[in-house]
This record gives sequence, structure tokens and C-alpha cells, in this order.
Amino acid sequence: MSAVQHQALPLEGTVTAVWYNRIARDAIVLIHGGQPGLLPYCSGAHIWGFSATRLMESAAVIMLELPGTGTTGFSADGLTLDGWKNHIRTVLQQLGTENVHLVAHDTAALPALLLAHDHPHMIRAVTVVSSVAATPTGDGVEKFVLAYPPTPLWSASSQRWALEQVSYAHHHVDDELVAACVRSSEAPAHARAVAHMADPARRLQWVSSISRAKSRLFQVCRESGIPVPVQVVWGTHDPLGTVDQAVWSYRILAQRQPLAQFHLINRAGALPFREEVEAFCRVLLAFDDVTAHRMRG
Amino acid sequence: MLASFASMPEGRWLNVDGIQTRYYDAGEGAPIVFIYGGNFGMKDSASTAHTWSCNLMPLAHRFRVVAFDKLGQGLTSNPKCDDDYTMQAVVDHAVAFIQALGLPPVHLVGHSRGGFVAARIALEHPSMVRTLTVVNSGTLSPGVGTNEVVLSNPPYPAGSREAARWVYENYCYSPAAVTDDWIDAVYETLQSPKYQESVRKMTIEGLAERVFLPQLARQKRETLQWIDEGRLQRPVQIFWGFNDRTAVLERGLELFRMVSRHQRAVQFHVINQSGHFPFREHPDQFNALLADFVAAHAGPGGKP
Repeated sequence: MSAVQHQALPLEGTVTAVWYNRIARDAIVLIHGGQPGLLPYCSGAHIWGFSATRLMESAAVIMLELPGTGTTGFSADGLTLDGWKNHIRTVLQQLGTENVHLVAHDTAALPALLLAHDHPHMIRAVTVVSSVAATPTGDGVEKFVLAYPPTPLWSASSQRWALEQVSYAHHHVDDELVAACVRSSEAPAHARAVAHMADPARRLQWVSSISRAKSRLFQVCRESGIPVPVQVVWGTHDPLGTVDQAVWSYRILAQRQPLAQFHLINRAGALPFREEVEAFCRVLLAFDDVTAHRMRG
Repeated sequence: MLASFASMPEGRWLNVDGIQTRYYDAGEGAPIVFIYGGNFGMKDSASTAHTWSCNLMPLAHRFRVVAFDKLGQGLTSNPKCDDDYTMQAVVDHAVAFIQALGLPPVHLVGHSRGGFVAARIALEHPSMVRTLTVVNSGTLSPGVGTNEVVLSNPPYPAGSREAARWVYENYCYSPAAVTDDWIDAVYETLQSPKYQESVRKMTIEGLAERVFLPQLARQKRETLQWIDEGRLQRPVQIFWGFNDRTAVLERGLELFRMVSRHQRAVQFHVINQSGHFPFREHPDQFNALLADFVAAHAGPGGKP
């Protein structure tokens, strides 16, 4: 990603890392997922890999990092989904964007969707990527996919294991990705997130924030709807969430949003943008074209 | 004679093994061949190439687009004999048409029963096909079809313009999608003596129950078996209108599961607030996805 530029934004005392090829008002904004201090691999801007490179060939793309990950600072207030939502909003305001297309992976889909509801003038579309967090909890079955990561936690071998666990095939888990995850885990923000989540009360605060955000999303979708176009993209072989869950996520979002699409990416797990770069980017750019055209038109 | 529709390329004729075939051809580049749904002799609906009027010209800026009237439908001649009132004869005519145009391997787009025709071509003549796009095809999908539940016995005189409009409004999510020009094309076909002859054969002479449906049932069984065995070996994308009551979403998902088990390059797209005709109900969304798919699977160096 040689064309990528990096900037450290001082935001309310928390230094925030952003990467971009071009800051345009209607850029595509990639937001990684994860659960800082809990998930056995460290997500961050690096997770987008070749998809970011591919998207930058034809669009202005911004990648931002969330509190507690990578070189972005840590703030205890930031480690809730409300905190993440505020963080995303502040970053976008600081960058001077309008009408961006948010592409949010995993947990980040919840704050992205709620931000679109609360501040629709800032956002033109949301793409939800493999977000079990945005699906109904129901009386689900316990999942063991990431239950017993090898120790030492967040070492290269442990993170490689976790990334392979959530994938359809292991081929995308290359040395470059693992090294980036390890660098992220060695950053001070990660150590503080781990210590933060080790406190049961604070961990409960994080988990509860997911439940609250989910409840609010379902209420919004039932009553007024997400006010901007939305699509759901899901890997057919996601070990963390079934296609049935994906279809339900789409049903919920499509209730009151006319421009809503659903896409299955074949032979991909929880990181479809890494496993099927071309297929993912095609779906994303086709949707981006339609929403940008409507915004102009 | 059908009215000239501004949104369609100029109509042309081609003699395909003795069948006068109406077709529309525009643009340059990778060839996309569109195959609409329905079949000859349906008394309240009559698909024609005009079904693709929202797609041909927008896509002709980047690709060569070809739509034709299937055997016995639109302006194309009826089958030569009663034994040809079959889906296999429709498939054979489509194959002969593509060969007569001398096209390199094409990107096939098949809707509804046209999706079945397109899949048969990909299965029987893989060298003629580069990619396959299937749109809301209950005929190709396993599971229970609900067309008759939704569309049987319109509350208007058989073959009337009102009956046709009622049928297409029930196919679509919003009645507003059923435009006058669409119904004009359908009604003009319904009224033509040639088409009336096929209605008479399928209904009064009973070719639907005696010939067409039994042969289709046999061929569908074979087709699903072939797909299950992994014989569909071209990139595939499946579109589905989320609100289609005649071919519900679960059938599309099941078709996707069957195809994607054997083939990596398979995608599934759902479009909201769309019934059976997502390419007419939301053409901008459909065209954007189709264009990207075709471009991604063009030949070496982007050549067709």
C-alpha cells in the first residue's frame, strides 16, 4: 500500500491513527472490528489488506482505528460501543468528510449503523461485513471457535491460530498480516485494553454496551429504519455466524430501508474481504456507485 | 406489429433453422445475452425482449448486449410442430440463435424460466458460455413454486390488458414498477394471431399438460441432478428480489448452496423492495452489479 498516507489525529486527548490515499468528502471509510483486550487476534486498519489497496485504485479510501487498537490511544470511556460511535463521529468531523460510505466489520457495524441513524447527513451508505454483533442473540448456542487460543496470548503463533480459526482457508493468513497483528498487540493501547478487560466490571460494561446497541438498532429498524442505504456482506463459511443469521440481519435492516442489498461471498469465513478480495471489492464498489449516483442525482 | 420502444435498440430479424427470430443487438465488447422468462401460450402474460428495456441501453455503453424473443414468444415464430412445444426446443433454439450470431463465449443472463434455459445452455454447451447470471428463477430452483398461488385466475377477462397488468403487478413489489410501455409490449404480443395460436395449442389442445410440463419436469430433475454433481462449471451469480412471492428467497438460497458447493466463483445478491423482476424494479442496482461481474470475468486482456 505504497500510496497510503498516515496521520495521527489528536482527538480529545486520544491520538487516533488514520490511513488514506485521499481524503474526499464522500470517501469510503473502512472501520475494523474486534474486541480490544478480548479477541485473540488484534484487528486494526491492517486487517483490510489487499482489499484496501484494490479499493484505492478507484476510490478515495480512509481507514481509521478504534480506541484500544494499534497506535490509536486508549481511553476507558472509549471502550464501549457508544464510545466507538462517538470516536468515529469525531474522526469524520475532524477530517471534514460528508456523505461517506462506512464499511464496518464485525462489532464496528453496530456503532456505524447507529451513527448513520443519529447523523444521516454525515453518511451516505453503510456496508455491514460479517457482523454477528448486529444479528439477533436469540437463545443461541455457545460457540467454541475462539475458546482456547494457544498461549502465550497474542504471540505470533496464537494470533495466526485465531485468524485461521475464523477463516474458510488459511492462505490469506500470511506473515505480513501476522506481523501487523503482533505489532498492534505490542502497542501500549493493547496492554491497557487487556488490563481494562481483565476487570470483570469493566468487561461487563463492554458486553452490556453491545447488548444495548443491538437493542437500539432493532428498535430503530422496526420504527423509523436506518435512513441511508445499507447492505450486508457475509462469507458463506463464516465459523462465527451462519448464513441464516446473515439473512436475519438483512431482514431486520431491510424492513424500512428501500435500498438494501444482501450478498454472499462464496468460500469465505469471517474475513471475506481478505479471502475473496475481488468478489468483495466488486460488490462494494457497485453499491458505492449506486449510492454516490443517487446522492449526486 | 410491436410499437417501437425508444429504450430498446432497433429490432432485427434472423432466420434460425427456419424460425424467424426477433432480436435486439447494441454496443461493443464482451457479449451479454439476455433470456427472459415465461413460455409460449400463457393466456394472461407474455414476456418479450422488451422485458430488458431498462438494462440493454445502459449496459451497451460498455458491452455488446443481445436480447431475443424465445421460440414462440414475442415476435419469434412458433414451434414448427406440436412435439416442439417443449423447454428443450426453446433451449435448442436459443443455442442455434447464439451460434448463428457467431458470438464468442457469452455472458448469459436468464430470468425466471429464462434462468433455466440459460443454465441448460451452460450445462449442455459450456464452451459457448463465459458466465451465468440467474435472476429469480423458480424454474431452476429446488422447492415449491408458488406462481399459481399468487397469479391464478386474475379478476379480469382472460387475455385482457387489465389481466396482464394485474399479473405483473402481483409479480412486482410495487405496482408503480409496471409501466405502460411494458404492458403495451405484453398486450400487443397477447393479441397477435401467432401468439393466440400458441395459447390455443397449450390450453385447448392440452399441450401444456400433455407435452410441455411433463418434459420440463423430467428435464428439471436432470438439471438439478447435474448441478448437484458439479457440472455447472462457469462463474455464476444469482440475483433475487427479496419480496418475490412467486419464487421466495429460500429457493434462491437453496439454489446458491447447490451451485456454490462445487464452484468458487459464485455469488448471491438480494435486492430489497423487489419482486420477481429486480432488473426492472431496481435497474441501477442490477446493472451496476452485472457490469462489474461481466467485467471481472471478461477474457484475457478484457477481450470478450
